[in-house]
Amino acid sequence: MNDCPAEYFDGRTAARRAIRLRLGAASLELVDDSGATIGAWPFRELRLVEPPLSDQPVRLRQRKDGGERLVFEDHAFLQALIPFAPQLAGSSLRTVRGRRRFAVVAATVVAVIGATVWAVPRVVELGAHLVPLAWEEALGEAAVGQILTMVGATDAGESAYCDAPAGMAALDTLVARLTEGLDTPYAVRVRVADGKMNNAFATLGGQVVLVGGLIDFAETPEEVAGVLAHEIGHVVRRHPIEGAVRAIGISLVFEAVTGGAAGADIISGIGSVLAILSFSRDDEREADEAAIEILRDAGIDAEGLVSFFRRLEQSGEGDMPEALRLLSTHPPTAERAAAVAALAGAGGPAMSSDDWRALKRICR
Amino acid sequence: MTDHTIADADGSGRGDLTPPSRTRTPVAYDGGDRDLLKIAIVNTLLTILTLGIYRFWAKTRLRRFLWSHVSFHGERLEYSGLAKELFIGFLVAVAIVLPIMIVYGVAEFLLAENHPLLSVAAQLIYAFVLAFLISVAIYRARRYRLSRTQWRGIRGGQSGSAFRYAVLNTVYGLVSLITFGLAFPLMRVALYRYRTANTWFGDQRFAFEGGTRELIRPWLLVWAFGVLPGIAFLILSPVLMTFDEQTNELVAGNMYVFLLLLVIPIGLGLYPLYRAAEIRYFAERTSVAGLGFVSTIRGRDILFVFVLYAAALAALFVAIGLLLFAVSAAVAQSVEPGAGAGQIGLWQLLLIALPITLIVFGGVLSTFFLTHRMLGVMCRHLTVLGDADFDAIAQSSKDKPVRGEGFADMLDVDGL
Repeated sequence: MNDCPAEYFDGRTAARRAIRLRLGAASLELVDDSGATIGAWPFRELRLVEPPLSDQPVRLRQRKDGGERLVFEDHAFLQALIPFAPQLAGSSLRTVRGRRRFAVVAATVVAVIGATVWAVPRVVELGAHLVPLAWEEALGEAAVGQILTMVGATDAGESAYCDAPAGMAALDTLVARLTEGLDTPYAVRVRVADGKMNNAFATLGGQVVLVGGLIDFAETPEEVAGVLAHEIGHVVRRHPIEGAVRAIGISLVFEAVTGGAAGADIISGIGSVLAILSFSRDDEREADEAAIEILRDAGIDAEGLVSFFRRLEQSGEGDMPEALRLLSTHPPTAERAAAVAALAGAGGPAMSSDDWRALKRICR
Repeated sequence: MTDHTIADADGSGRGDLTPPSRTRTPVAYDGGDRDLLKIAIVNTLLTILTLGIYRFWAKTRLRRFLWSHVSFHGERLEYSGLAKELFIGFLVAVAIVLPIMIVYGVAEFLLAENHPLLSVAAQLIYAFVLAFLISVAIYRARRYRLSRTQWRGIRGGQSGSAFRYAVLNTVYGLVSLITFGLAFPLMRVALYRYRTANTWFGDQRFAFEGGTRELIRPWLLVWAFGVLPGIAFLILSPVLMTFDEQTNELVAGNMYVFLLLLVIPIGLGLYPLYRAAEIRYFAERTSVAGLGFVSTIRGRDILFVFVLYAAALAALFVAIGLLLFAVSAAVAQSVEPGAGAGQIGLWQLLLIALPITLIVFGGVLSTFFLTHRMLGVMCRHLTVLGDADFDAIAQSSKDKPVRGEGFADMLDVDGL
């Protein structure tokens, strides 16, 4: 192999020196005009600054980069160097080095994804426990405000709640029966929003909101008790705060990782996130489990839980998008029916027929 | 064309500053379209597959390509940054910014319900803090990039304070706002002056000798025809909108949309005229180590790249639309009426596929036109004047930053 003409930059000044490169015994030798060797780079220390495209000169540095550079046009000389310095072959999948590198990257990606899947529920649970109860209650009030707006209960300046005294008394009695001896830090608070929507919400700070349309839709007091027990089940299992932490956390991390439009979008999204906390299918199943326990302890027939959701499902085939939405994350009715059947008709009525009539008129 | 008036406006002083005796060396950018497309496509795909984490490696790969294809005086630029530096810098920024975002988010949500006025104040303060942080991020990111840029074995560098830069940006930004954009060039010059006077090549400092005067005429032109109609439109917009009795809301009528579609393209189309005048002026007044610069770029050169980009995006939309149409037609034919299940599956698939296609190809097109082609246009019109005593330019003894661009990555500050 002949000498190769090259340019040398010493990393101390911007001066360019025209030199020749020569293959030595264990190093690449830098030879100047007069034939004097001005430097020797050990083969082992040679690195490509980057794999050169065919239209680019080859740029070499040393492993410990002090800014020195060797630049030459002759790609054939690089090929001649590779037997002495195999690391210059680059890292394509054809080389051992390249394959090892690919394996490391692939393993890292898999590990990161796996760790994320494993860590998210645990981090969410931890985060949910870190939120002080007082904060959660304050957030809950705000979330209820959002819900009222959403179900159209805050129009025309009148009270947003249905609170006919006799109906309230019936409801309070029922809630007291359901929550007696419940193992939860929350003071469960149930209110009826003055809206036509057939829906119910459990949100932060132990707040439960039934919408007026649901009371209209219910055919028996056991159905109302079933829905209430289900929502209280969410509260007991801490689903609202976990849902909030998950939703905000995921959107923040997603925005951060993808470098989205920073805070503004996330922040403006938080309100709606808190208002409609989306519970997962597993959450709904857990809420059902809790609801069945709550109804059993209160001595109320759990059949209402099944019949309510079954009728909701059937009516949902019409134009009731909110019913569809509610159903979408709810476990199949059959599954719920099976769980309730295990109780085999234990339990009595949820309230007297007088109270039931009063509750039906709570929005009048 | 309006182009000529701008050229005349600042063409007068150029002769004095560039005596013919100085040697002229062109700046070349020889990055191939196909090589760049390959990098851009692989980058985008891997970034999506890794949920965004590959971003830092993608950015580094792209920069290595771009830098190494820019050359003058027979030597190429070199980008020596490492992706892991960007990654670590990003993690640090997340650790600082994320808590601020969470605290603000929760506080704003609580205020929105009961104290609407306080909530508006909080939003304003937050927007202000965010804007300030973004300027800090821009300056810090530039420090990192310069420190990782080498030419002839000598590193670039940036001195100065990101905080002071952000203050400058904020103050002049407010002045521009108050003057309805008239003072915009004042801000541009002040910021350029600060950046340039703090830019180093080894131990040589860049200098900018200029003022705002020569940018006033090109800006007034753009302002009068591009910005002023926009402001008038904003002020008049309540009048232009119609009131909908049923929903109690202001609705944008046809006239509104038509004017909007007129005002925005005119403003965007005129801005390159100013930008080109600015680049030419900044170039001729900037010097380092005895080297000067001349740019011959015109507004139409910049505009042309934007038009190509817009055309490519439009073509992409049409192509996807046609594809959707073809598939839905095929589905409608193959599926019996009433048997809806298969149809829904396909539509859902398409609904997922469409945004992904847009993200993938949109990102690639933006890199191709707005980064690669734009860099080509900038370099093609740039000439380096004179010869430096390269033996006398020494490596800087200053420390370089160890982490990269964290805040800029976090806050999505565009940067190359």
